[in-house]
Amino acid sequence: MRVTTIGSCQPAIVAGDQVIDVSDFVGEAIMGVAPRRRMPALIGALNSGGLNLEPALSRAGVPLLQSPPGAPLERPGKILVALSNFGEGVDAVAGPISIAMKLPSSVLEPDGTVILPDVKAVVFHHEAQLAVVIGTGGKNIPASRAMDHVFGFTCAININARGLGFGMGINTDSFDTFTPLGPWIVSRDEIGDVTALRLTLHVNGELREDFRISEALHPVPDLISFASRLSTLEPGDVILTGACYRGVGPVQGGDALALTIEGIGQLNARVHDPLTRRWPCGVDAGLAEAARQARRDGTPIPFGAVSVSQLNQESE
Amino acid sequence: MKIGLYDTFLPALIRDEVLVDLSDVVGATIMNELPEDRMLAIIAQFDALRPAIEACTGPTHALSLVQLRAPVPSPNKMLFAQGNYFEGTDTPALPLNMFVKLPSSILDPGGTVQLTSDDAFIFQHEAELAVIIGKGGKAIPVESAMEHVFGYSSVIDVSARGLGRGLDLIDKSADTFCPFGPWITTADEISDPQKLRVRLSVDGAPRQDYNTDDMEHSVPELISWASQILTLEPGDVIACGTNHQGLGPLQGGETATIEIEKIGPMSVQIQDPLNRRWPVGVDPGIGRAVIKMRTTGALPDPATAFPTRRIA
Repeated sequence: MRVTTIGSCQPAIVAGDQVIDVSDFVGEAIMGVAPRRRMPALIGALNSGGLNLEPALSRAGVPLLQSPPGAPLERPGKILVALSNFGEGVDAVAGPISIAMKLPSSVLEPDGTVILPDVKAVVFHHEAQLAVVIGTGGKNIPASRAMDHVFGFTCAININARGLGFGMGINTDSFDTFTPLGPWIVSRDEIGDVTALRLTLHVNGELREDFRISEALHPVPDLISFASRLSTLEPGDVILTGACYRGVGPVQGGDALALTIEGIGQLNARVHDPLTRRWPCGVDAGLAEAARQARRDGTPIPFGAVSVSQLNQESE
Repeated sequence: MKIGLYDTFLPALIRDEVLVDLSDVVGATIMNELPEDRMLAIIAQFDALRPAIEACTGPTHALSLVQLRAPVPSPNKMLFAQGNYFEGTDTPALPLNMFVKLPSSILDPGGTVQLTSDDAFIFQHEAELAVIIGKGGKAIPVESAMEHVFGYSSVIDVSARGLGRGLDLIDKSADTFCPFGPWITTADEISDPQKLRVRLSVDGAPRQDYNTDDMEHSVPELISWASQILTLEPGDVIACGTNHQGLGPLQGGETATIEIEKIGPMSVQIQDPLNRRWPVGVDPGIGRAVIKMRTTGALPDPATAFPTRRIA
């Protein structure tokens, strides 16, 4: 099952190249709540078996091209982001699980436009990430049962401004539009082995990121178990499984980003920079090398290692 | 006026020791929202509701007989200013920054903070003035920022030290790590939010005691800065940061009470499933480290900023 939204937070399912509006099928319990709470309610009902959308699959749809999907979760209850969670292709030492938060208000719909803000960032980076969507909430979820709490998976691009503050503030990754999410959530039963998922991110058609979830130092069930020990998880919460830095590079005005996750789909985003700043194109080699060294040492990645700087910076 | 939630998230006006139920006054449409979303709707429609709320006389309950709830149990976002007090130093203002604290960490007044089982150096209280946004907006200028304030409340930013990077899920956002309340004092009753005394005591012994006149970036500056990054919405919470002088450990069995002038006192209990013990009282380490950072630029080192260690 592939679920998303169309129009103004109308729940929809995707079948082939067709999208089917199910807003009159899902019932008042879901349509009656505030728009931001609809998809979490729908996902919760699907995961508990309280709602079955299979009969709606036979309904007439409209072509996706005609009715493009919105964000499958316009406003997740929370977005958790795993830090330093990929091996970076070296003999890596896994540090303890580390999870940060980004603001749900940063979610951007598929084919939306990332707006680079007027801040003195060293650079803005793309991070291709797998988004795990919680279907059944809970606290102290054991890793052995964690996957039962997953509704499904979607694509996320974590946009990051580097070099502001200590890299932990809302001016790092929580600007409006900094979380392209979608194009739909593919339910867990269609994915099978999550570790086999391959993520590729292209910028203007050029390959940047290419990695598999099997490279994660802490697998998805461990992330869920860890997070739920601290915070009660709820349907519609999103856990991003972390960035793999060997392919991370700048995003700049005019860029077209395309993240493809095998078995899920392709998430596109455009980038607009009102200030028309320019950075070199391509992978940030300094950050990639720092990430490899950090993984050998089992330490956090020092973002001060960013090696690119703005090309058209005005001298001050 | 003071407006809050009680029992099953019923809206109420608080007058001295009496609570006036507002369920009928706010109307069926708002009462049919999810209980935790009712206050968001009240805030969004407050201008229209205000005359009826002010005129409301009943039904009433004794405040001591109800369970108060966090006044905004499920805000869209909670933004916490980092530091943001001069702390007695004559130093230039540092750049403003804020971090995300999960709304799921909110704890009702009178609730119990559950210390996590993680091996933190120490768990500490940070008493903070909380601004509740009334009218949303993006790129709000400082000059008109105060028009976006619905009111003020208090939060305790419970913080585990020495675990993650300092502001992560494990450090700041565990369930119950954000006592919030006891209600909202509307903006008209606080003409100057930069003249409020903020106190926090543990088991009656004073810990933090500072005034918001020492705030580094003022309330309108906080609102304006945040709204350059994101779109503020009714009910969003901006915590104004803390003065680190007077911080100390929170440990099982204790009662922490925050009291901000013109808002009122709020107490919570502390529970520690591991029964760990720290020395009772102020831990001057982080206060000194912040003053050193402000005067020399040296970043606080967690190993020395939290010198108090477990004794059991």
